[in-house]
Amino acid sequence: MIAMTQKATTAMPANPSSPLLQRFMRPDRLQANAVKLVTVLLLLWGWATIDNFLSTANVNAILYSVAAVGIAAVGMAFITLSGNLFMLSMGATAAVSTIIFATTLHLGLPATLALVVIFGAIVGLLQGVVVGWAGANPIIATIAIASIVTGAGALYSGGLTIVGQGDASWLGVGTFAGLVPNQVVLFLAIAVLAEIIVERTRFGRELRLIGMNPSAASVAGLRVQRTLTIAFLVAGTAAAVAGALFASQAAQGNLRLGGGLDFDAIAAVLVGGVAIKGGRGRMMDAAFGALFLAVVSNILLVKGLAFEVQLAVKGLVVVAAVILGALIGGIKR
Amino acid sequence: MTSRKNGLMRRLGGASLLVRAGLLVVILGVFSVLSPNFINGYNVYALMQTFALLGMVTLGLSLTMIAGEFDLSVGSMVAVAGLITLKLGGSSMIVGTLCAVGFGVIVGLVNAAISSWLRVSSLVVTVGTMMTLSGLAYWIGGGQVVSTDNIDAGMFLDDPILGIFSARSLLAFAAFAAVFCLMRFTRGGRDIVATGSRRQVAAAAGARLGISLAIVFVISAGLSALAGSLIAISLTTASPELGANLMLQAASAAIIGGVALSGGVGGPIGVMIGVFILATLNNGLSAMGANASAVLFANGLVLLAVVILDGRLARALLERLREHRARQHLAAAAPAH
Amino acid sequence: MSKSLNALLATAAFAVAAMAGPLATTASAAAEGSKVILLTVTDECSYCALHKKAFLEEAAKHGLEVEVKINNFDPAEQANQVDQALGERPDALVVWPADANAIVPSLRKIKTAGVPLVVTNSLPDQKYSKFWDAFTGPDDIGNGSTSAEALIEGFKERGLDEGNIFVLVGPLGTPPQIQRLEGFTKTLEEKAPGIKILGTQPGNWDQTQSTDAAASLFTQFGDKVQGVYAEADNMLAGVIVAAQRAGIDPKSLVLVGHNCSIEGVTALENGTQYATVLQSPIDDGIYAAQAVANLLDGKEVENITYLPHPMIKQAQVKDCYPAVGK
Repeated sequence: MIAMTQKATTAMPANPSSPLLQRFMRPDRLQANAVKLVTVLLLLWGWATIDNFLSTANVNAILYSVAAVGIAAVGMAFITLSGNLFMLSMGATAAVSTIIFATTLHLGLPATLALVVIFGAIVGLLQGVVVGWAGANPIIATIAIASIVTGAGALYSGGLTIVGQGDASWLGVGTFAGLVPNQVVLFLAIAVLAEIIVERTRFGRELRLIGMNPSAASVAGLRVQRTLTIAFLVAGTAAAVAGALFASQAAQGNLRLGGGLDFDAIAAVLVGGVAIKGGRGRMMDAAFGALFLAVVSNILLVKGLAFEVQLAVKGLVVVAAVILGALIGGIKR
Repeated sequence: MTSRKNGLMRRLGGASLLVRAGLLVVILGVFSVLSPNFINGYNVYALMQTFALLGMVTLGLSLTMIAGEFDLSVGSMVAVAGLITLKLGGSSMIVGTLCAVGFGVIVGLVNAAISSWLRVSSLVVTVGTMMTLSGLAYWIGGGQVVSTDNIDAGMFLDDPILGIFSARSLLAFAAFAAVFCLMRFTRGGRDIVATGSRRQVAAAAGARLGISLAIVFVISAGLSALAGSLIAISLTTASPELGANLMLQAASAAIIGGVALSGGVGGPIGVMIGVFILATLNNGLSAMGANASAVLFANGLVLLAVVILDGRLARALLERLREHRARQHLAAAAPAH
Repeated sequence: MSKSLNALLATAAFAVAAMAGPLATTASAAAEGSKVILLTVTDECSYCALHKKAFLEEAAKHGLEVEVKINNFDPAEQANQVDQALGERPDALVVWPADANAIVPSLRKIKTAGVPLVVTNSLPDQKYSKFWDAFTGPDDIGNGSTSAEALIEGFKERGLDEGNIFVLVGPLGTPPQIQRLEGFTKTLEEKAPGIKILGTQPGNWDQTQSTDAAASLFTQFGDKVQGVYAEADNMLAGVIVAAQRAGIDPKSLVLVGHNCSIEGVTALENGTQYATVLQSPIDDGIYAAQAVANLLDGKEVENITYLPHPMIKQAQVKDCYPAVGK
């Protein structure tokens, strides 16, 4: 069926199938579109079969659980798009960000957010230098940095929970127009901004090209190292912002917050349809991937299944997405 | 390029192994001075016990690295194997261990199959496997910690033999010996190295890629499962949290032991030394009363340093250094024009 | 890899590791006296850090020389540290088990080696009580029971003698989770059979997970519950967030937690939490130090000594200040 569609797009026969369907089924957009469709179907199914599924309380629960992970997923997508697979330091960065958030909250929320962003940028920059300039293996290097960051954070905080002396409620529970949580607004803004950067700027195009073919990119004169460093800087910042969202919940910071962030972001990116090999996929794909997983998690939770089951489901989803992505990619060849 | 000395020296990696062994001796010496109780029977026994777990896991991981791949799921496999062993072991721990290792073999085959059939980087496949296994670990125990009353089985595994060894550590040494024979004496071993060094060339020359991948991933998952099974019996408890830091430490130990991330380089002897270097480091820090966070920080620094030195920039610089020296040699050797 | 790169690598690895050496801290009192080794879990949790501090201060008062070994709640590492500790031939050992089940083989080793042993905080299965000389620590069944009494009082204050609640528990299968729930449900059945538990979910001692778990419980039972019990105050903090996001005013519910940790103190002071039960890490550490000092002095020591578990409401919140380091 996919082969038929492929032929249909390259040589237009008198085929009455709608052009919209053809665009939907294009091999490189198939997975991303499928995920969006399934998300909508799941929401409808949940509404039909589960009590209170679309109540304000539950919708809010879904939205809040997608905001932080979504931001991290968008950051992760920069790394994956560039062909550097994953950044396994997001959880550690987020955790230490909660400590920084709580420690500096008395300076006011805007100042606190600024400091958190700076911290994330520094951690991201460090990884960018190690991976982009020194050419170290991205997975191992980010694991190493995660240990360093966590160890430093633990030595600083002494392991204690730090209670912020200030008001973080705008971020924690505040809403826009009384309806949409501010965290979600922030997430949407970041996702849209990322999409624009990747699709419409020179930096974004170079990032994609590096992901598709790194050796060709450097031969062609693209500023590979600089672009990669910026990508890691962005991803580190995204992780830190996610940490700020976690910390704002109760205006407290401790190293246990944000624990599963790496897994969640990776799952969102892969499921959403960003290719592991790099070079393919959009930022909005990662955002929708996060939404899809949040809906799945919520359904599992409301049905009474433990979070352990969710973890296993997420892992299987990743494996399935990997297989699916490879199959589709293979057929394209 | 790399100078080819006579057969034996090349196999042993030449002077680099001696350098590593020397480093181990130096570390032992430093800690003995800093901490009076460092070298005694109990502490060496403790070191061997660490080796029993870390060594087995690192051995498996390093094989995948030599083949140019990477098995991220080794840590989670340790946890799941422990749970399977205690859940299914019942009265006979051996049955439990066999089930766990069998499960490991299956997972290894799955890892290899997806990597080679779909031509997806094993880093990604094993991330998925790792996540699935983590969830599975929680699910097997019903989210609970699983324990057994069978203390005697654990004692059998841990009772000191010749003062500093135990059944567990001897098993680990046996595993190293077996892998050494595999790499040195069989075609399978040569194929594994070839798969890691220059894959297309190796395939053209007749190396069997699919089988090599299957072997390394099965050994990796199998050894991790065995190690996890044994530690669970030893502690009479299995939990999903066990082995959280293992992957990080195994990667560090392997790289310190001379296994390159790019593949095709390294062997069991180097890995053994690497494991002992890392284990001694952590043991020594602990003996000095170091904070768990300080140890984590130190491990992270070590891994970072090692991975940078193993990276592209360092290699490029080294290449240029060698070329420069080679040119000097030629200039000195050639008759003046 | 070439020889030179290998050598460079290995040397760098050691140099980096040696640099980290100064980060190691030794904890030992200068006073003369018996040598005690404390094997404790990470001080990456406030309770654990305060416990260690209180232990060291009390031990110093008795003139004990203490060495500390820390692991990150890793039972395999702790088993290793027991081996190391035995090698140093201490006069006594104090162990905070990373896992109360996994520690048993090590306890047997220590007994066989003939070293006096105090177990602190996590009580292993009591059928192994012959493997230790003294246990000091919290009575989790009593803790749960006191929480239930607090909940019943809260309901009474609102004129309710029956109603519904849901419960957030710690990691399933761990002794504190089982025992606190046991104490709680037993007291609830005895003294207020009209109060029913509609649902239970694990929060795993984690605030974020608790928020999600509570959100799902609020979705399922929303307006049907009048109260919530969480086995730890930091989990209750997650419940409070979930309630706020679901549009429910936390003050309209009877919220009862445990620990009187900093999260509990904050919530009690601003009125969102009704009550908690104090489990003082300070007492936990002091009791352990006293037990080992008594053992070494040759005095009679009880096999099991429990910490007190007072109920704390807003009026008594200052009693918790020492325990949270204020």
